[in-house]
Amino acid sequence: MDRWCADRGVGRGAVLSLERAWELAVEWYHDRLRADWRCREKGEVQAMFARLGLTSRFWSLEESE
Amino acid sequence: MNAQAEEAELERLARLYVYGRFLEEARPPTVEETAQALQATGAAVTLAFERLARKRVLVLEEGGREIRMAMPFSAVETPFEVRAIERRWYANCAWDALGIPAMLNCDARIVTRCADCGTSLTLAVMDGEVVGGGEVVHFGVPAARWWDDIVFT
Repeated sequence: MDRWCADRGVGRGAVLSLERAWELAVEWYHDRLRADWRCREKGEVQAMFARLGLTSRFWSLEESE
Repeated sequence: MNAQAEEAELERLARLYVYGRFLEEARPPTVEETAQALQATGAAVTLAFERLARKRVLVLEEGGREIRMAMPFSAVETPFEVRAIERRWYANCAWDALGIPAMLNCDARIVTRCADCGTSLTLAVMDGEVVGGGEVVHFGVPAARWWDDIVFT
């Protein structure tokens, strides 16, 4: 992954296993087709990330300087 | 129903209609198709789509009024093809490719390419589990910056 990023001149972001990415997809999309679905508030999204163990700065929704 | 409530209801109906059409036809409805289906004016639907875009529910074509994304669906061909329930869609990214079977609660095959070597990859979702061969998903843009340029993200 580091080589791939270096070859493309991009910073290394977050790398998730396929299984973790699937868990994230399920949490994020499982209710999208509900008639009463609504956008999650920032705090709800942050809490969802935390439940999945996504707690590094990369997953913070607060803008950093 | 006051004007604000009417706007909210049109947004709700428009969102459901967009997703319904994407599911059935693998493409979003146009503004005109949506207006006809919901018995609304094109102007009202255009405004509803714009409000939904500001709320990050839809992504519109740059400078246009038609739909580019209704996440996890893409209106354009991408490297992430999802085959499920006898249909085929394009997803916007790897996360969205998993998002389609997650949303539909169904089995699926995801056909894509390794971003490193270009090798064709087929992943499967079966009985609520993803089946792969040790692949990983790289998120390149920090979460706080995703919507700076969501098409790039």
